[in-house]
Amino acid sequence: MPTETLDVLIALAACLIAWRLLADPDVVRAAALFIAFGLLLALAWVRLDAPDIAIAEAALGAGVTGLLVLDAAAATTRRERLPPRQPEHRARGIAALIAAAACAVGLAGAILALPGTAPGLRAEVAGDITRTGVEHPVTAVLLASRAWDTLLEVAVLLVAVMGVLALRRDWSVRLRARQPADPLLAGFARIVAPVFVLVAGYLLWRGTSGPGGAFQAGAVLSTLLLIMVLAGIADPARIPGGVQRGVLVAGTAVFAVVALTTAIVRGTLLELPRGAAYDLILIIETAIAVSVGAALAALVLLARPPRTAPDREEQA
Amino acid sequence: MSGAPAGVLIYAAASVVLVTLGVRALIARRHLLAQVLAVNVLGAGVFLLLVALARRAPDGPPDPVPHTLVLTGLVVAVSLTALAVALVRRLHAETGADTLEDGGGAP
Repeated sequence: MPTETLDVLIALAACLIAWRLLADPDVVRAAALFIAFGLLLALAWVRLDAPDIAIAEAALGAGVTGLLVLDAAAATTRRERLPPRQPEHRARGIAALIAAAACAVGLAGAILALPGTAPGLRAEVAGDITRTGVEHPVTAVLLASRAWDTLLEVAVLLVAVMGVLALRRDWSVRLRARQPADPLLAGFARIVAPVFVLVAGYLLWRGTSGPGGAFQAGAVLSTLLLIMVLAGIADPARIPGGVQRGVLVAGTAVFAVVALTTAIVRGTLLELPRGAAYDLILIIETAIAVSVGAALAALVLLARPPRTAPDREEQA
Repeated sequence: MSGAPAGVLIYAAASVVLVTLGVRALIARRHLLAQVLAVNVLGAGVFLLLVALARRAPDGPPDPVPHTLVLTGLVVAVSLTALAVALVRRLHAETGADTLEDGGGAP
């Protein structure tokens, strides 16, 4: 059975990398391994017929999370100091083992108790999808059946950006690009930029009929923004603060306006009118894609301390 | 889980391993960034389980609802990671600590 061999290999490799990365005292190496782990998971999602998640995982789980931790590891202590051999640390290790073992036994028991085949909510989604105008079930659930969750999800991302901003020592939204543009990186960024925009637009458009959608498009956009800023060819500081905030808030704002309008006109929150559902979903998705792209890039860029190092020392 | 496709069983087993590794590392590791990675591995295990269980549909496409749950979960996980990393960086900038034990509270 060659196909199952592949599944076993992916699963084993993911578990092995997860074990190595969580055991590594060097946080930079652990973060690099996490990126590899995310890419392996993306393969697992493809094998499990979840292409939507595969695209999001490759960009978000592997890319943005890995970059966030890598960046922070380089800025803080890179290596974990080995725990002193004291009774409380040994007790902590034993407690961790007991908790992990309890989780393993409980989870395995719960999984084994489940029926081997279950149609899930496919029938309900198939019944609901006709009134949305979109063909892809994941997009229909995301923006019609479970639109409330998605609205809050976009809001969570916005709150995270605000939280990261609040934790900065310096309060301006303004960011500074790396000053001298790396010629190789800048050339690469200029070549890939149009392709990234095209891919993001395609994913957004395709989301109504197949795998893709606002979050995947946003993830691709954020990668493009990060590449351009890190290569030194785009300087977010030159974008006015109002525009930056507007772009960050657009997804939540458009979604909230639609939610309020439907609540007032139709009496039900986010009950999209049958005829206009398709257009509304596309409008909401476009706004979300732009905001998600900006927010993810902002999360990475805002975490970096301002570049004016001497000023910081004066403050401290 | 009798009669489940082999792929479901393989990935469900992997998800148990990932959750177990994540829980252990979250408690045992001291470096805060290692704990952030542990939460992410733990979350990945939960996502893997949800998507594997969605594949139990007898024929045709998998159940789309767990897929959207995981898609939402991925974005929330990244938001959580970013906020946690920002907290760790601020702690390090204020106190020089990278754990919550050795003088993490005292500037």
